[in-house]
Amino acid sequence: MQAESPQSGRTSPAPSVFCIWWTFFKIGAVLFGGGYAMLALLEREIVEKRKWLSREEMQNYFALAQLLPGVIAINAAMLAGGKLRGLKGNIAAAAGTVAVPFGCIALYAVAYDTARDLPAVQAAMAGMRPAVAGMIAGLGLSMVCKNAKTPPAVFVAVVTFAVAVAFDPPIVAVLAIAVAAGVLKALFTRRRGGCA
Amino acid sequence: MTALAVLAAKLAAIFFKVGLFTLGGGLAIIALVRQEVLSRGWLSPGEFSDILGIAQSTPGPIGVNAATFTGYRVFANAGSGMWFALAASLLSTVAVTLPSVVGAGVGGAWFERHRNGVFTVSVFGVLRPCVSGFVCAVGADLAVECCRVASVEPALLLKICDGVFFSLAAWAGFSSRISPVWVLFASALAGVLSR
Repeated sequence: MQAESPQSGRTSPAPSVFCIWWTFFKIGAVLFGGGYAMLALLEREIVEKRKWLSREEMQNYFALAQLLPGVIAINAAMLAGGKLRGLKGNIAAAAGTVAVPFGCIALYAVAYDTARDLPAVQAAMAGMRPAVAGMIAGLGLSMVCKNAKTPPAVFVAVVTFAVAVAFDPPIVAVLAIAVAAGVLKALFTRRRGGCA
Repeated sequence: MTALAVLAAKLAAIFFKVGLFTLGGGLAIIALVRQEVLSRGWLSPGEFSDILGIAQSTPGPIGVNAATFTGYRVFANAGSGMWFALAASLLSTVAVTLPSVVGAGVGGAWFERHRNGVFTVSVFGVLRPCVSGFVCAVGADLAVECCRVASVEPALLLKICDGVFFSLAAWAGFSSRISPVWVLFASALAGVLSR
């Protein structure tokens, strides 16, 4: 794998595995928020500063990252790393991205263990719970607005929400049904001659 | 010792499954982790909410952070020492990202070719709103739990305060004009000051 981009005609040599790891280490250390925060960081570090990939390639990988299983930010990092150095680059990018977050969480987990019975910590945690609930609800609503733009999609979102709240069904099973429904819809559309 | 080994194997298997089924939007991972840990009685709803708050206020994707923290808590709750618990959190982190390594390595090229194919578009057209519904359901469950706690709070001011932070965080999460992290910090500070 070479870090070449036919669009721009650049031919920079592929960076070392350690260099990939270190670059993604720095990206992971300042990654707050979801996938779109990651896209902004990748464009700044990988495209503008290091010029490892072109902007089109990066956006292409970001779109692809949303189709693969797993968290979008990590997927995008892996696809970029994989483009630079194959499987080694893929793993180096993932390991780099999660390194600082892992360290932070490990520190927090140990601290939480020893300090969770302190009144001040309990008060802070209890105070945070409404904000956590609001944050997740807000993130969920923004996902609905982004992903449910047609009446059938709104229907799917609303029914899933209602079923999830009322029955707490196994999510994996529901996702499998959703995939099956998508496949059936595609087969049906295709038979009718491709006009959805 | 054997009990911890069995627990470690379970953690690895469950977080691999969670990583594998995080489809149609990265936040699906929150709903999946929640269901796995609550249905097994590994964490209380309050603990899970704490984990989400911490996972969002540290760098890194919230779902992976939550998996890391959960691995530690599950071992700590089972009575293991700190180092084993840290190893368990590393194991959970690796397990939850492993499907992505395989997906990006093997599936990347396939998806690149079929990205705009009839099947891909159609399947994700159903998956994405479905996952959005699940994430909203997690938010609703957390809110219900908060209301239950708030209903026994004596002071009216605290209830109002909770409502304000809920709304602010919801707006921050929805619009992403400001980072929800600031609202989380402010609410934690208010929690301490209100005592």
